[in-house]
Amino acid sequence: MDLHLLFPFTDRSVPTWSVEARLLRWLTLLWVTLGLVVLYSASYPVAAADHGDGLYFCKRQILGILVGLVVFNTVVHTSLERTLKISPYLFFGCLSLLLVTLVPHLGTQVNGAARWLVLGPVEIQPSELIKPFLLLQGAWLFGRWRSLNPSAILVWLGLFGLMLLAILMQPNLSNTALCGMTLWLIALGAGLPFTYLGLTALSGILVAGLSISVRSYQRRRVMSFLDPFADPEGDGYQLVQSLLAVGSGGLWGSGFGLSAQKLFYLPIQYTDFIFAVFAEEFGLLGCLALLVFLVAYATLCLRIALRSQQLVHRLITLGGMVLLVGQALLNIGVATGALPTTGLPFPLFSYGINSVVSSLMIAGLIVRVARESSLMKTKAS
Amino acid sequence: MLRVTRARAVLVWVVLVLACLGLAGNLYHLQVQEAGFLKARARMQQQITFPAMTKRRPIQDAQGETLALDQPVFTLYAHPIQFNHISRHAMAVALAPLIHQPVAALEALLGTAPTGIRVADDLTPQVADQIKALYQDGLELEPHDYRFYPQQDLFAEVVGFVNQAMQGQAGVEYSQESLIAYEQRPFSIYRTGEGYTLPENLRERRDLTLKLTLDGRLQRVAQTALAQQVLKDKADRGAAIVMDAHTGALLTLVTSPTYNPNKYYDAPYNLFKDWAVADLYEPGSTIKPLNLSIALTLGVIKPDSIIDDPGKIMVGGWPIEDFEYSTSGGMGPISVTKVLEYSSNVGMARIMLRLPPRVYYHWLERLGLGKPVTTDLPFAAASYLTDINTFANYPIEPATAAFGQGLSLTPLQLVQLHGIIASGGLLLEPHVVDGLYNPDGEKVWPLQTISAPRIFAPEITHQVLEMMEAVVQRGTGVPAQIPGYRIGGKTGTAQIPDPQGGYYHGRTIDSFIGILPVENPRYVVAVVVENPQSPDAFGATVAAPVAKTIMEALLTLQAIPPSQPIPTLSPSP
Repeated sequence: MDLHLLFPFTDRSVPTWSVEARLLRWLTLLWVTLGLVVLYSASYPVAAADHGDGLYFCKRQILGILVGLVVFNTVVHTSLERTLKISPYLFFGCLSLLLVTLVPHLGTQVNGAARWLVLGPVEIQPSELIKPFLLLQGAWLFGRWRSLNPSAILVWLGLFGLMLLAILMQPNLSNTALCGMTLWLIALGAGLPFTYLGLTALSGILVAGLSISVRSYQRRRVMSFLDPFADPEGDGYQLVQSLLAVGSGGLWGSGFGLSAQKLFYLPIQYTDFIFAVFAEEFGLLGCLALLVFLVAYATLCLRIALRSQQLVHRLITLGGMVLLVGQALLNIGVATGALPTTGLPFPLFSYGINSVVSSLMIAGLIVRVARESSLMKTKAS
Repeated sequence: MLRVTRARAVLVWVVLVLACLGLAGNLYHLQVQEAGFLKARARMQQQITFPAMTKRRPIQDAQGETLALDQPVFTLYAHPIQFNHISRHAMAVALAPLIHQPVAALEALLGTAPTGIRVADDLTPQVADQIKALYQDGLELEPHDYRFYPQQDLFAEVVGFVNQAMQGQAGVEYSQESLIAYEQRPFSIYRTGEGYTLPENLRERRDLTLKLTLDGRLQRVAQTALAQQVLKDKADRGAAIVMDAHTGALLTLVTSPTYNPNKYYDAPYNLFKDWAVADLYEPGSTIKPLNLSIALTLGVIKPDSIIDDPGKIMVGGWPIEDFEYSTSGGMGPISVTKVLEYSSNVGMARIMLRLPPRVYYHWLERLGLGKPVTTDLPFAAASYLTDINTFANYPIEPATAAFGQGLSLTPLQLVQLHGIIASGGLLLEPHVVDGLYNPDGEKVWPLQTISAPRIFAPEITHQVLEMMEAVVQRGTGVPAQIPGYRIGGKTGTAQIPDPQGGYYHGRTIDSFIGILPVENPRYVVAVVVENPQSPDAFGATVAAPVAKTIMEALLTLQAIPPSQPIPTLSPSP
């Protein structure tokens, strides 16, 4: 095996890729770099205060990026057929770990939610790691919807349901919603009848409503986003601080590194509310530029999806687009009060090794789709 | 199938793009439309704002000792209506040890009103912190500044004091209000969510210090010596001044009695006007060296001229006598130096009558007589000189002016006049303000010194100074002698004019003025004591000893080496 292929910067095969594949690779690397720059500013004060090293989170994030880039290149150089063969096992593995987090004393509690498994120095967050395999399995299931036998479909739908339930039980409503929406949008892209889709959406909303009504803290949060200033010191605190940061940015922003809100007014400013720091420092112009970037990324994904000749590949691209761009938009929606305050990282911006690795793997899958489409064309010609 | 899913794929993309547009609209709302409100609210929690205030700069002496400074103090108000889960009794128990009031009285006070009770004044920041540490609702600490004078009464006559409204009322605090008082612009400092303040903005607060030329050590010596003499002789009052004749800077200015500016409201108000600057007296014989300088300059005498002193002469129908004429009679022909040495009134009158009176008058005007001294101390009084026609038409006027009667000036102006002799002929501005200094010790104002006008040639003042040295060596100034040092001086014992006409009997103002060291004149020392009650009160007995004490301290502090070997008394065999 050629070890040069493991890292994007030593990969000499790139010039042979299709334009879309190369472009997406560059956009992904740009995203990673931007994310690191934003994380540097957002995490410095809290890292300095909590760990005595302002670069603490940056260093660990870089470690995650390095691991993620290896995964990225591995995926890019592995045929999707092969990846799809291994994927179910890795999906089961992640699902098992996800279920283990629910076992008392094994899952590490963070903010009242059991999301982590600590294995020595490695912290594993199965709900993040499962996303690329959920994507692969979802694309496979809905892409083969008409050719699979009903029992297999039911089994897989049951497994997806179990996964969503497990994430919901952590509890992690936002990730559940994201995964559910991703599956739903893959199904939408797969051309499933609107009646099925409508019913599923309805039941999903019902489940979400039920979850909220059972857990009072989630209900209060969901209600508080409608009028955060009603209780700025209590339930509305996080959103109020985020809105103050975003608003303080104004048109031009306060300048890189000059967020005042990140100085311990904003909660978890280096993960869930990293966009608030970005918005304060770069202002409306920076935010619009970021949105333009996300649209460009999504458009490139769409182009790749439309050019791919296989439905499963197209659905992998669409789902990946939702998991990367869609999740980023959900994070922005939370930070700007357009959505209920729930914890969801901004892909490749927020601190989190699991999230970085998982996001880079998803990006790698899309690049692989772009490469295979052009390979097939080359073969056909 | 793939054709259907192409449309669906675009649909998924459209969902994301629509979400983007929605978020962009929301961001525009937050960052443009609501930005003002959100930013203001964010600043409210991030910033601590200090309102515009009138502050006063600290004042220091030449050694950097603080003479006056603003101290933050707090007034404690209580609003019992806001007390939270605490009784008035418990609150009184908590507060009593901090503000040193009895619990019972405090509890009673807290019961007098539901809100706005003024509990204690002038609390120090330390006590205020202790009160804050109680974490009780219903207590309010209102900060304000209090002008504190750590040297108590030592510099009162120069520094002055401020009233309750922080406005200067006397001394430099009054005359240099524009240098001392400044408007502190409102400013904000940032703090973190954890309450720590950030150093940003603090760099702009570079407070300047007003530095005076006074030497606190010499000031203390002078004050003590003067106060003892005034007490011993039961004098009405006294003043002592030391001036640096290189610059006109005052090293010392004390009066006795004085007051404590921290408790100015307990002092008699007439003390607030520094009499060494604001009150006139007839200088008497201490003016003679200046008159000799004029006569030498105009050439009517030479240093070795001989003047005949019969002890008593008549001028314009008025008798002029030497002080000891009734006991010793006339001295006969004597040198100009002896005229000064023995303080001969007749000799001086004869010398000055050699000048055309109008010329003499103009020279007195050139010295600044008839005008107030230009100085940075407040309330300087204009000295008194009769009008030119009277002076020219009545020979008795120039004759008495020759020995310091019929004209009057302030002790400070006398120092200025002798500064001409000490400086080699320059009319210096006596001043106490050195300038404004920044925290790095750099002078930021004034950056230039004013050049002083020349009155006499250096040779003239040198000749007069040597005559003054003879006064201390052999004449009336002997009590001011300091072994090893060459000191020039002149005593003065002037009568106090009665506003009804003539002079009070038995009331004198005794003074001594010294210049040292003669070989390199630098310092002018003046001591003036008004109305001492002791029977043999003269300049030589009352003022010269005080001047000697001050000069001894001055020589030590300025590390001036003796000009001759100090004679030691060898034990007799």
